[in-house]
Amino acid sequence: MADRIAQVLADQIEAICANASARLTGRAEFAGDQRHLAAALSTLAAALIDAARDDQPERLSDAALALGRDDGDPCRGYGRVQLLLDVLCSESVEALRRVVLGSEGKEASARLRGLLGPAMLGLADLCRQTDQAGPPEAGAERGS
Amino acid sequence: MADGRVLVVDDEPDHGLTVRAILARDAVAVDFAASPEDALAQACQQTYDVAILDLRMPGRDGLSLMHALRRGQPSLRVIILTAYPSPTTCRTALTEGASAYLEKPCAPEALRAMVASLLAQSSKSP
Amino acid sequence: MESRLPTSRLKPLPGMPRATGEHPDLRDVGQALGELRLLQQLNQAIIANLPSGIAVLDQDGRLLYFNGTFGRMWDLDLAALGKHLAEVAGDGPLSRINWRGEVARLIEGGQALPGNLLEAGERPSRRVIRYGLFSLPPTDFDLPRRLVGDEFCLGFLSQHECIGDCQECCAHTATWQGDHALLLVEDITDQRQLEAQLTQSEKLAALGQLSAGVAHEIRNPLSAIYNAAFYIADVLSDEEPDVGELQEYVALIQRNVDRAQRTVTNILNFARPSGPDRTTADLSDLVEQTLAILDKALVDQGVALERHLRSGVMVRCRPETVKQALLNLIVNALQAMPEGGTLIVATAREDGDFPSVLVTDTGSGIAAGDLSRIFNPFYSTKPAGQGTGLGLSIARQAIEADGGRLDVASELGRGTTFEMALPAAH
Repeated sequence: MADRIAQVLADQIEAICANASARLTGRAEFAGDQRHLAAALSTLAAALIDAARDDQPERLSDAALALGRDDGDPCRGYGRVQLLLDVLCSESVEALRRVVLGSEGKEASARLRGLLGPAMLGLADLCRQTDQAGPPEAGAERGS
Repeated sequence: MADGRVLVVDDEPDHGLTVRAILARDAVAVDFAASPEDALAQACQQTYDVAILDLRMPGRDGLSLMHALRRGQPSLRVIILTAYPSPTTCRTALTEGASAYLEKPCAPEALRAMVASLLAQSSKSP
Repeated sequence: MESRLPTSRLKPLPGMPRATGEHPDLRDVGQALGELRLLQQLNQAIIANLPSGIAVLDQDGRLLYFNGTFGRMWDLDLAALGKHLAEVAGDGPLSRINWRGEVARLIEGGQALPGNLLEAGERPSRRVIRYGLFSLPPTDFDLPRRLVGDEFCLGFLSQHECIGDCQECCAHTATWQGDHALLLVEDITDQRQLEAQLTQSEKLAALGQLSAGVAHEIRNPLSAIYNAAFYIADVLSDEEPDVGELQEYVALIQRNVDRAQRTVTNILNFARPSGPDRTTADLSDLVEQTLAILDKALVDQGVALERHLRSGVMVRCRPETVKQALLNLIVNALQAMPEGGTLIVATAREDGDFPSVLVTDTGSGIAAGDLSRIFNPFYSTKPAGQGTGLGLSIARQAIEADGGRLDVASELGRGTTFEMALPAAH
């Protein structure tokens, strides 16, 4: 299944990125920043395919965190990366649906989400770590 | 899909209903409360794995509600939603102990994925 | 009289009779004449350089005299002298007054009528003036008018000697007989325009303060719509989609589009620049339209709202201006209650000539010493950078320009009440 997902995504990567880009171009978060948007999308899409193939969510998380760090303050860039991941992932789910049908398709979507979830939570961790004062409950949260 | 129970608290009923509908697609049990008071009352009856709290609500904000809910249910994972995003809000929510923070218009795919991940964590270490 | 004239410090003016060696009485007369001449020059210089228009009307409302500013204001030349003011004033604001009646009323009552506002003409040449009419003592003599540049000089003592038979002077000699009135006119069109711009920027500043509430009112419905669309697409991707319950989410989308739309309309209605004209409006409608954009701010701050509004109380005003002033009052009230409280908005004096709205907060109140200053421009209790200190000042000015009143009463620790009274529409 992992290979199948990776293959479908790889086959449609251009369409996925184009659709995601079309949805995000109009958003204020990316206004006047087309090149950055295109570059970020293709980096994340490649990472998503890697993560899907190897069933290693960290591949996507690492790419997302690198983007988060690029913004200097990850809390400032959080919304942008969150949006990129969400739209990229939902376009990828759409792409999967076109090819993988029925209950198999559902499972494929769920697996894809299984890659996105840790990336999102990892991004939140990154924001927490950059706080100078030190989080009172964050350690417990991460440890759980 | 993952077992578990989720509480959605939003003073915007329509918004809460859509979040509930989306999460219920993953066969998760989702309750909805339209006010912090209702949420606290429901938390007396039910144990939740994940709570999705709107940040700005009349009477009590999402972070204060998070602390209040955690007094009864310390292992509760919380996702904070806000229509007024800012780096400060983001940092405050996360350092005060929220597992994640989402901006409205909320990213439904990301929300669904995060809830699934948190439920998975929760079932491993209740 | 002669003893009071500061004779010793005056230098002789050109053309002034030489005093030396003459009879002491004649010398005094000569000196007095010189001083009169000086005073007249001074007078002339003042009148010629005043930014206000000055005119003298006889009891029939005919122009006896006007200064250069007045002439330039209404594009008048010599031919206007002796004509009725209303005739020569074109379609400007001055043409809207029955001057004969006004002068008669003035003379009968002996009262000056200062500070009246008039507005007329088509945009963009629309003019706003403030005028005052004052009575002059009755006289009965001929007075030559001489034109120097575009300025008339009155009397025989004008700078260039007039011997009484000069063609230029005598052609314009007028008999000042009976009662006269002095008309002072100020063109405040620019000032009004500036006030309007200031009101507009205050309005936008107030909207800025409410922007968090606006974001809430737009983002929440948008988010619900986004989610509902996502959900519908997700359900439709099922092999055998259960479309029955989708109807509910389609309705939800429609409902939330309406809500976002309503918010945008409310903001646009509010932010629209004020119309220049007064109209008849229902006082409680104005209050409701203002509260419509404030609802969320009230809830957020834990402020309960009590409305005591009687509909059908009609007033004459510029509605946008009044809504702006109301918004200022309510934002002020909210700022006085950071920990929550009750905001009471009520109509009062509903059947009188000046129905009013009371805006009451249960906040900290204003100290008596500060109360007298809160309508002063730039007076603000807020930290620098938050609020211009112009809100209340502009609000009061705008309400007074509509013939209304804005007053305040406050008690420390109890709260503050603003009362906005507007002329009733009969």
